[in-house]
Amino acid sequence: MLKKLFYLATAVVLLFLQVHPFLPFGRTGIRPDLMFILVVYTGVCCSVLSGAALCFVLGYLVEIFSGSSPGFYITVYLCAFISIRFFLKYFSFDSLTKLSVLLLVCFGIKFSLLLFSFYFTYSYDFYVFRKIFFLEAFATFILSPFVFWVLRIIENYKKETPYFFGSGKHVV
Amino acid sequence: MSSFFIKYRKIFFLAVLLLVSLTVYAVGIEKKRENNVFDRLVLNLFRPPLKITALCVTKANRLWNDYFYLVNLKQENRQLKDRIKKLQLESQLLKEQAEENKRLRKLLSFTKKHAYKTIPAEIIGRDPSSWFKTILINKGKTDGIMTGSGVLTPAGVVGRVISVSGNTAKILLIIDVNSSFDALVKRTRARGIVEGFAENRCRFSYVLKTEDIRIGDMIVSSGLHKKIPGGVELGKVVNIIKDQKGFFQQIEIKPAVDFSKLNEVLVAVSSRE
Repeated sequence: MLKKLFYLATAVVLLFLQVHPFLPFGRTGIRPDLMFILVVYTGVCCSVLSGAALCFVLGYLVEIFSGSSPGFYITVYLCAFISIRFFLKYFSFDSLTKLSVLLLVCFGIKFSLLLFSFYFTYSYDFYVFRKIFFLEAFATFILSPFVFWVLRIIENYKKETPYFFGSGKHVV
Repeated sequence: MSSFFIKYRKIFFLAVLLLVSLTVYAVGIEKKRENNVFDRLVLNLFRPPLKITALCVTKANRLWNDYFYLVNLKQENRQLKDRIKKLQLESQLLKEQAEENKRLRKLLSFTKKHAYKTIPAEIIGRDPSSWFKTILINKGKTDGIMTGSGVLTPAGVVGRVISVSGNTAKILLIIDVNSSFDALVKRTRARGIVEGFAENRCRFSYVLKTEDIRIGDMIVSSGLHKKIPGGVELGKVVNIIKDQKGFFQQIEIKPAVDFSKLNEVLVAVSSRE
Protein backbone atom coordinates (compact mmCIF):
# COMPACT_ATOMS: atom_id res chain seq x y z
CA MET A 1 0.00 0.00 0.00
CA LEU A 2 2.83 2.37 0.93
CA LYS A 3 4.56 1.63 -2.33
CA LYS A 4 1.43 2.59 -4.29
CA LEU A 5 1.05 5.76 -2.27
CA PHE A 6 4.65 6.59 -3.00
CA TYR A 7 4.08 6.11 -6.74
CA LEU A 8 0.91 8.21 -6.64
CA ALA A 9 2.69 11.03 -4.81
CA THR A 10 5.48 10.91 -7.41
CA ALA A 11 2.86 10.94 -10.17
CA VAL A 12 1.28 14.08 -8.72
CA VAL A 13 4.65 15.85 -8.59
CA LEU A 14 5.57 14.80 -12.13
CA LEU A 15 2.16 15.78 -13.46
CA PHE A 16 2.46 19.17 -11.76
CA LEU A 17 5.81 19.70 -13.53
CA GLN A 18 4.43 18.47 -16.83
CA VAL A 19 1.40 20.76 -16.71
CA HIS A 20 3.26 23.81 -15.46
CA PRO A 21 3.23 26.64 -18.03
CA PHE A 22 6.89 27.45 -17.49
CA LEU A 23 8.33 23.95 -17.91
CA PRO A 24 11.61 24.02 -19.86
CA PHE A 25 11.08 22.73 -23.44
CA GLY A 26 7.34 23.36 -22.95
CA ARG A 27 7.19 26.84 -24.40
CA THR A 28 8.25 25.57 -27.80
CA GLY A 29 5.30 23.20 -27.77
CA ILE A 30 7.34 20.09 -26.92
CA ARG A 31 6.73 18.65 -23.46
CA PRO A 32 8.66 15.70 -22.07
CA ASP A 33 6.37 12.81 -21.06
CA LEU A 34 7.48 12.51 -17.42
CA MET A 35 4.56 10.23 -16.58
CA PHE A 36 5.77 7.79 -19.20
CA ILE A 37 9.04 7.46 -17.28
CA LEU A 38 7.01 6.57 -14.19
CA VAL A 39 5.00 4.04 -16.23
CA VAL A 40 8.26 2.34 -17.28
CA TYR A 41 9.50 2.30 -13.69
CA THR A 42 6.14 0.96 -12.46
CA GLY A 43 6.30 -1.78 -15.08
CA VAL A 44 9.62 -2.99 -13.69
CA CYS A 45 9.03 -2.53 -9.96
CA CYS A 46 5.31 -3.20 -9.34
CA SER A 47 3.25 -6.37 -9.46
CA VAL A 48 0.99 -6.96 -12.48
CA LEU A 49 -2.26 -6.12 -10.71
CA SER A 50 -1.20 -2.99 -8.85
CA GLY A 51 1.04 -1.81 -11.69
CA ALA A 52 -1.73 -2.05 -14.28
CA ALA A 53 -4.18 -0.27 -11.97
CA LEU A 54 -1.60 2.43 -11.37
CA CYS A 55 -0.96 2.90 -15.11
CA PHE A 56 -4.72 3.25 -15.58
CA VAL A 57 -4.78 6.00 -12.93
CA LEU A 58 -1.71 7.72 -14.41
CA GLY A 59 -3.31 7.78 -17.86
CA TYR A 60 -6.52 9.12 -16.40
CA LEU A 61 -4.69 11.90 -14.53
CA VAL A 62 -2.92 13.02 -17.72
CA GLU A 63 -6.23 13.05 -19.60
CA ILE A 64 -7.80 15.44 -17.05
CA PHE A 65 -5.34 18.12 -18.16
CA SER A 66 -4.94 17.11 -21.77
CA GLY A 67 -7.03 17.85 -24.83
CA SER A 68 -6.86 14.20 -25.88
CA SER A 69 -9.85 11.94 -26.39
CA PRO A 70 -10.88 10.03 -23.25
CA GLY A 71 -9.07 6.69 -22.96
CA PHE A 72 -6.16 7.69 -25.21
CA TYR A 73 -3.40 7.94 -22.60
CA ILE A 74 -4.78 5.06 -20.55
CA THR A 75 -4.48 2.82 -23.62
CA VAL A 76 -0.94 3.99 -24.43
CA TYR A 77 0.29 3.56 -20.85
CA LEU A 78 -1.37 0.17 -20.41
CA CYS A 79 0.11 -1.13 -23.67
CA ALA A 80 3.57 0.04 -22.57
CA PHE A 81 3.06 -1.64 -19.18
CA ILE A 82 1.98 -4.95 -20.74
CA SER A 83 4.98 -4.87 -23.08
CA ILE A 84 7.34 -4.29 -20.14
CA ARG A 85 5.86 -7.24 -18.26
CA PHE A 86 6.48 -9.35 -21.34
CA PHE A 87 10.11 -8.18 -21.58
CA LEU A 88 10.62 -8.95 -17.88
CA LYS A 89 10.23 -12.65 -18.66
CA TYR A 90 13.43 -12.56 -20.68
CA PHE A 91 15.51 -9.64 -19.36
CA SER A 92 16.27 -7.94 -16.06
CA PHE A 93 16.36 -4.18 -15.73
CA ASP A 94 18.41 -3.61 -12.61
CA SER A 95 20.52 -0.62 -13.61
CA LEU A 96 19.84 2.92 -14.80
CA THR A 97 21.37 2.15 -18.20
CA LYS A 98 19.10 -0.86 -18.69
CA LEU A 99 16.09 1.20 -17.60
CA SER A 100 17.01 3.88 -20.13
CA VAL A 101 17.25 1.26 -22.88
CA LEU A 102 13.84 -0.05 -21.81
CA LEU A 103 12.46 3.49 -22.02
CA LEU A 104 13.69 3.76 -25.60
CA VAL A 105 12.08 0.43 -26.49
CA CYS A 106 8.83 1.63 -24.90
CA PHE A 107 9.04 4.77 -27.00
CA GLY A 108 9.12 2.48 -30.02
CA ILE A 109 5.86 0.91 -28.82
CA LYS A 110 4.39 4.35 -28.17
CA PHE A 111 5.47 5.45 -31.66
CA SER A 112 3.53 2.64 -33.33
CA LEU A 113 0.43 3.26 -31.21
CA LEU A 114 0.49 7.03 -31.83
CA LEU A 115 1.18 6.52 -35.52
CA PHE A 116 -1.90 4.34 -35.79
CA SER A 117 -4.08 6.76 -33.79
CA PHE A 118 -2.91 10.06 -35.26
CA TYR A 119 -2.06 9.14 -38.80
CA PHE A 120 -5.29 7.27 -39.42
CA THR A 121 -7.71 9.00 -37.05
CA TYR A 122 -6.67 12.65 -37.18
CA SER A 123 -4.88 12.50 -40.57
CA TYR A 124 -1.81 14.11 -39.02
CA ASP A 125 0.89 15.20 -41.43
CA PHE A 126 3.60 12.51 -41.18
CA TYR A 127 6.48 14.99 -41.25
CA VAL A 128 4.97 16.95 -38.32
CA PHE A 129 4.16 13.72 -36.46
CA ARG A 130 7.71 12.41 -36.80
CA LYS A 131 9.25 15.72 -35.72
CA ILE A 132 7.04 16.08 -32.61
CA PHE A 133 7.59 12.44 -31.64
CA PHE A 134 11.37 12.55 -31.84
CA LEU A 135 11.61 15.88 -30.02
CA GLU A 136 9.30 14.61 -27.26
CA ALA A 137 11.24 11.35 -27.00
CA PHE A 138 14.54 13.23 -26.87
CA ALA A 139 13.32 15.63 -24.14
CA THR A 140 11.95 12.71 -22.11
CA PHE A 141 15.09 10.63 -22.56
CA ILE A 142 17.32 13.51 -21.44
CA LEU A 143 15.31 13.91 -18.22
CA SER A 144 14.76 10.18 -17.58
CA PRO A 145 18.04 9.40 -15.74
CA PHE A 146 17.26 12.10 -13.20
CA VAL A 147 13.68 10.82 -12.64
CA PHE A 148 14.87 7.19 -12.42
CA TRP A 149 17.60 8.23 -10.01
CA VAL A 150 15.13 10.07 -7.73
CA LEU A 151 12.71 7.12 -7.86
CA ARG A 152 15.50 4.71 -6.96
CA ILE A 153 16.65 6.86 -4.02
CA ILE A 154 13.15 7.08 -2.55
CA GLU A 155 12.53 3.38 -3.15
CA ASN A 156 15.79 2.39 -1.47
CA TYR A 157 15.11 4.72 1.44
CA LYS A 158 11.64 3.23 1.79
CA LYS A 159 13.08 -0.30 1.84
CA GLU A 160 15.37 0.69 4.70
CA THR A 161 12.62 2.49 6.62
CA PRO A 162 9.36 0.59 6.27
CA TYR A 163 7.38 3.14 8.33
CA PHE A 164 8.48 5.96 6.07
CA PHE A 165 4.96 7.21 5.34
CA GLY A 166 3.25 6.64 8.64
CA SER A 167 4.19 6.30 12.26
CA GLY A 168 7.61 7.88 12.16
CA LYS A 169 9.31 4.71 13.42
CA HIS A 170 12.46 4.53 11.35
CA VAL A 171 13.79 0.98 11.20
CA VAL A 172 17.33 1.14 9.81
CA MET B 1 -13.86 -22.85 -13.77
CA SER B 2 -12.99 -20.78 -10.72
CA SER B 3 -9.51 -22.34 -10.50
CA PHE B 4 -8.98 -21.45 -14.17
CA PHE B 5 -10.02 -17.86 -13.40
CA ILE B 6 -7.73 -17.68 -10.36
CA LYS B 7 -4.84 -19.12 -12.34
CA TYR B 8 -5.14 -16.54 -15.08
CA ARG B 9 -6.53 -13.65 -12.99
CA LYS B 10 -3.64 -11.36 -13.88
CA ILE B 11 -4.18 -11.82 -17.59
CA PHE B 12 -7.94 -11.34 -17.14
CA PHE B 13 -7.36 -8.16 -15.17
CA LEU B 14 -5.01 -6.74 -17.81
CA ALA B 15 -7.40 -7.72 -20.61
CA VAL B 16 -10.37 -6.08 -18.85
CA LEU B 17 -8.44 -2.84 -18.19
CA LEU B 18 -7.20 -2.71 -21.79
CA LEU B 19 -10.66 -3.46 -23.13
CA VAL B 20 -12.20 -0.70 -20.98
CA SER B 21 -9.62 1.85 -22.12
CA LEU B 22 -9.98 0.88 -25.78
CA THR B 23 -13.78 1.05 -25.55
CA VAL B 24 -13.66 4.47 -23.89
CA TYR B 25 -11.20 5.65 -26.54
CA ALA B 26 -13.21 4.27 -29.44
CA VAL B 27 -16.50 5.68 -28.14
CA GLY B 28 -15.09 9.07 -27.16
CA ILE B 29 -12.80 9.67 -30.14
CA GLU B 30 -14.99 12.44 -31.52
CA LYS B 31 -15.88 13.87 -28.13
CA LYS B 32 -14.11 16.10 -25.68
CA ARG B 33 -13.90 15.05 -22.06
CA GLU B 34 -16.60 16.48 -19.82
CA ASN B 35 -15.38 17.23 -16.31
CA ASN B 36 -16.80 14.81 -13.72
CA VAL B 37 -16.57 15.10 -9.92
CA PHE B 38 -13.15 13.45 -9.77
CA ASP B 39 -11.77 15.67 -12.56
CA ARG B 40 -13.03 18.78 -10.78
CA LEU B 41 -11.46 17.62 -7.53
CA VAL B 42 -8.06 17.06 -9.18
CA LEU B 43 -8.26 20.40 -11.02
CA ASN B 44 -9.13 22.21 -7.79
CA LEU B 45 -6.22 20.53 -5.99
CA PHE B 46 -3.75 21.51 -8.71
CA ARG B 47 -5.08 25.05 -9.18
CA PRO B 48 -3.56 26.86 -6.13
CA PRO B 49 0.06 25.63 -6.53
CA LEU B 50 -0.06 26.11 -10.31
CA LYS B 51 -1.45 29.62 -9.89
CA ILE B 52 1.10 30.64 -7.27
CA THR B 53 4.14 29.28 -9.14
CA ALA B 54 2.96 30.68 -12.48
CA LEU B 55 2.43 34.07 -10.83
CA CYS B 56 5.91 34.02 -9.28
CA VAL B 57 7.60 33.17 -12.57
CA THR B 58 5.57 35.82 -14.45
CA LYS B 59 6.48 38.48 -11.88
CA ALA B 60 10.16 37.54 -12.01
CA ASN B 61 10.08 37.65 -15.83
CA ARG B 62 8.41 41.05 -15.81
CA LEU B 63 10.95 42.42 -13.35
CA TRP B 64 13.81 41.16 -15.48
CA ASN B 65 12.29 42.46 -18.72
CA ASP B 66 11.37 45.85 -17.20
CA TYR B 67 14.94 46.39 -16.09
CA PHE B 68 16.30 45.78 -19.57
CA TYR B 69 13.58 47.84 -21.23
CA LEU B 70 14.76 50.88 -19.29
CA VAL B 71 17.83 51.02 -21.54
CA ASN B 72 15.82 51.98 -24.62
CA LEU B 73 13.02 53.71 -22.78
CA LYS B 74 13.57 57.25 -24.08
CA GLN B 75 13.53 56.29 -27.73
CA GLU B 76 10.59 53.97 -27.27
CA ASN B 77 8.68 56.66 -25.40
CA ARG B 78 9.05 59.06 -28.32
CA GLN B 79 7.90 56.40 -30.79
CA LEU B 80 4.89 55.56 -28.65
CA LYS B 81 3.87 59.21 -28.35
CA ASP B 82 3.88 59.51 -32.15
CA ARG B 83 1.87 56.34 -32.39
CA ILE B 84 -0.69 57.62 -29.86
CA LYS B 85 -1.25 60.75 -31.95
CA LYS B 86 -1.90 58.63 -35.04
CA LEU B 87 -4.20 56.28 -33.14
CA GLN B 88 -6.17 59.18 -31.64
CA LEU B 89 -6.90 60.46 -35.12
CA GLU B 90 -7.85 56.95 -36.31
CA SER B 91 -10.06 56.50 -33.26
CA GLN B 92 -11.96 59.74 -34.00
CA LEU B 93 -12.59 58.64 -37.58
CA LEU B 94 -13.70 55.17 -36.45
CA LYS B 95 -16.09 56.65 -33.87
CA GLU B 96 -17.62 58.75 -36.61
CA GLN B 97 -18.00 55.66 -38.82
CA ALA B 98 -19.46 53.62 -35.95
CA GLU B 99 -22.11 56.28 -35.35
CA GLU B 100 -22.93 56.33 -39.04
CA ASN B 101 -23.07 52.53 -39.09
CA LYS B 102 -25.44 52.57 -36.11
CA ARG B 103 -27.77 55.07 -37.82
CA LEU B 104 -27.79 53.12 -41.10
CA ARG B 105 -28.43 49.79 -39.35
CA LYS B 106 -31.37 51.41 -37.58
CA LEU B 107 -32.69 52.82 -40.85
CA LEU B 108 -32.50 49.40 -42.51
CA SER B 109 -33.94 47.71 -39.38
CA PHE B 110 -31.01 45.26 -39.17
CA THR B 111 -30.86 43.05 -36.12
CA LYS B 112 -28.62 44.20 -33.32
CA LYS B 113 -25.10 42.81 -33.44
CA HIS B 114 -24.04 40.52 -30.66
CA ALA B 115 -22.33 42.37 -27.83
CA TYR B 116 -19.51 40.80 -25.83
CA LYS B 117 -17.75 41.46 -22.59
CA THR B 118 -14.34 40.04 -21.89
CA ILE B 119 -13.06 38.34 -18.76
CA PRO B 120 -9.29 38.53 -18.24
CA ALA B 121 -7.66 35.29 -17.13
CA GLU B 122 -4.18 33.96 -16.48
CA ILE B 123 -2.71 30.75 -17.87
CA ILE B 124 -1.92 28.35 -15.04
CA GLY B 125 -1.27 25.20 -17.03
CA ARG B 126 -0.52 23.79 -20.45
CA ASP B 127 -1.33 20.47 -22.06
CA PRO B 128 0.88 17.76 -20.51
CA SER B 129 1.47 16.23 -23.95
CA SER B 130 3.17 17.56 -27.06
CA TRP B 131 0.37 16.26 -29.27
CA PHE B 132 -2.58 18.34 -28.13
CA LYS B 133 -2.59 22.09 -27.74
CA THR B 134 -4.69 23.13 -24.78
CA ILE B 135 -4.19 25.56 -21.92
CA LEU B 136 -5.70 25.82 -18.46
CA ILE B 137 -6.84 29.21 -17.14
CA ASN B 138 -7.64 30.39 -13.62
CA LYS B 139 -11.26 31.43 -14.35
CA GLY B 140 -14.26 29.13 -14.64
CA LYS B 141 -17.98 28.73 -14.28
CA THR B 142 -18.15 31.00 -11.24
CA ASP B 143 -16.76 33.85 -13.38
CA GLY B 144 -19.39 33.30 -16.08
CA ILE B 145 -17.27 31.30 -18.53
CA MET B 146 -19.10 28.67 -20.53
CA THR B 147 -18.15 25.86 -22.89
CA GLY B 148 -17.71 27.23 -26.41
CA SER B 149 -16.75 30.77 -25.36
CA GLY B 150 -14.14 32.38 -27.60
CA VAL B 151 -10.72 33.16 -26.11
CA LEU B 152 -8.77 36.16 -27.42
CA THR B 153 -5.79 38.41 -26.88
CA PRO B 154 -5.32 41.90 -28.32
CA ALA B 155 -3.31 40.19 -31.11
CA GLY B 156 -6.09 37.82 -32.18
CA VAL B 157 -8.02 34.61 -31.54
CA VAL B 158 -6.43 32.09 -29.16
CA GLY B 159 -9.05 29.34 -29.22
CA ARG B 160 -12.26 28.25 -27.56
CA VAL B 161 -13.29 26.87 -24.17
CA ILE B 162 -13.82 23.08 -24.32
CA SER B 163 -14.50 22.28 -20.67
CA VAL B 164 -15.23 24.31 -17.56
CA SER B 165 -15.14 23.55 -13.86
CA GLY B 166 -15.80 25.90 -10.95
CA ASN B 167 -12.57 27.89 -11.03
CA THR B 168 -10.73 26.62 -14.10
CA ALA B 169 -11.39 26.28 -17.81
CA LYS B 170 -9.62 24.27 -20.51
CA ILE B 171 -9.05 26.01 -23.83
CA LEU B 172 -8.44 24.33 -27.17
CA LEU B 173 -5.95 26.46 -29.11
CA ILE B 174 -6.51 27.17 -32.81
CA ILE B 175 -3.26 25.29 -33.61
CA ASP B 176 -4.61 21.99 -32.20
CA VAL B 177 -5.42 19.34 -34.81
CA ASN B 178 -8.94 19.03 -33.39
CA SER B 179 -9.66 22.73 -33.73
CA SER B 180 -11.71 24.29 -36.54
CA PHE B 181 -12.92 27.87 -36.85
CA ASP B 182 -15.27 29.42 -39.37
CA ALA B 183 -13.33 32.29 -40.90
CA LEU B 184 -13.07 34.66 -43.85
CA VAL B 185 -10.48 36.65 -45.72
CA LYS B 186 -10.63 40.27 -44.58
CA ARG B 187 -9.89 41.69 -48.04
CA THR B 188 -12.21 39.57 -50.21
CA ARG B 189 -14.67 38.06 -47.66
CA ALA B 190 -13.91 34.58 -49.07
CA ARG B 191 -15.03 31.94 -46.57
CA GLY B 192 -13.25 28.89 -45.27
CA ILE B 193 -12.36 26.88 -42.18
CA VAL B 194 -9.22 27.48 -40.16
CA GLU B 195 -7.88 24.14 -38.91
CA GLY B 196 -4.99 23.42 -36.56
CA PHE B 197 -1.78 22.00 -37.97
CA ALA B 198 -0.05 21.15 -34.67
CA GLU B 199 3.18 23.07 -35.27
CA ASN B 200 2.26 26.72 -34.69
CA ARG B 201 0.66 26.78 -38.11
CA CYS B 202 -2.94 26.51 -39.33
CA ARG B 203 -4.58 25.53 -42.59
CA PHE B 204 -7.28 27.64 -44.22
CA SER B 205 -9.32 24.88 -45.81
CA TYR B 206 -12.27 24.59 -48.18
CA VAL B 207 -11.50 27.79 -50.08
CA LEU B 208 -12.38 27.46 -53.77
CA LYS B 209 -9.63 27.83 -56.36
CA THR B 210 -11.62 30.60 -57.98
CA GLU B 211 -11.20 32.81 -54.89
CA ASP B 212 -8.50 35.46 -55.05
CA ILE B 213 -6.21 34.80 -52.07
CA ARG B 214 -2.77 36.40 -51.78
CA ILE B 215 0.17 35.90 -49.46
CA GLY B 216 -0.15 38.37 -46.58
CA ASP B 217 -3.97 38.36 -46.61
CA MET B 218 -5.48 38.65 -43.15
CA ILE B 219 -7.86 35.87 -42.02
CA VAL B 220 -10.49 36.92 -39.45
CA SER B 221 -13.22 35.13 -37.51
CA SER B 222 -16.56 35.16 -39.32
CA GLY B 223 -18.75 35.86 -36.30
CA LEU B 224 -21.19 33.11 -37.30
CA HIS B 225 -20.64 31.38 -33.98
CA LYS B 226 -22.50 33.47 -31.41
CA LYS B 227 -19.94 32.85 -28.67
CA ILE B 228 -17.01 34.10 -30.74
CA PRO B 229 -16.86 37.73 -31.91
CA GLY B 230 -16.46 38.33 -35.64
CA GLY B 231 -13.64 40.30 -37.27
CA VAL B 232 -10.93 39.21 -34.84
CA GLU B 233 -7.63 38.24 -36.47
CA LEU B 234 -6.78 34.55 -36.77
CA GLY B 235 -3.63 34.82 -38.83
CA LYS B 236 -1.91 35.79 -42.06
CA VAL B 237 -1.58 33.75 -45.26
CA VAL B 238 2.03 32.58 -45.65
CA ASN B 239 1.77 29.91 -48.33
CA ILE B 240 -0.68 28.97 -51.10
CA ILE B 241 -0.64 25.78 -53.16
CA LYS B 242 -3.02 25.40 -56.09
CA ASP B 243 -2.90 21.76 -57.16
CA GLN B 244 -4.30 20.51 -60.46
CA LYS B 245 -6.60 18.13 -58.57
CA GLY B 246 -9.63 19.09 -56.50
CA PHE B 247 -11.72 22.21 -56.05
CA PHE B 248 -9.91 23.81 -53.16
CA GLN B 249 -6.68 25.70 -52.56
CA GLN B 250 -4.20 24.61 -49.89
CA ILE B 251 -3.56 27.69 -47.79
CA GLU B 252 -1.20 27.81 -44.83
CA ILE B 253 -1.58 30.59 -42.28
CA LYS B 254 0.62 31.85 -39.48
CA PRO B 255 -1.47 32.51 -36.35
CA ALA B 256 -1.71 36.13 -35.21
CA VAL B 257 -0.99 35.06 -31.63
CA ASP B 258 2.45 33.92 -30.52
CA PHE B 259 1.48 30.93 -28.40
CA SER B 260 4.92 30.48 -26.87
CA LYS B 261 4.68 33.89 -25.18
CA LEU B 262 1.08 33.61 -24.04
CA ASN B 263 0.57 34.45 -20.35
CA GLU B 264 -2.84 36.12 -20.15
CA VAL B 265 -5.98 35.81 -22.26
CA LEU B 266 -9.43 37.38 -22.54
CA VAL B 267 -12.50 35.15 -22.57
CA ALA B 268 -15.34 36.61 -24.64
CA VAL B 269 -18.71 36.15 -23.01
CA SER B 270 -21.88 37.24 -24.69
CA SER B 271 -23.30 40.11 -22.61
CA ARG B 272 -26.88 39.00 -23.33
CA GLU B 273 -26.35 35.73 -21.47
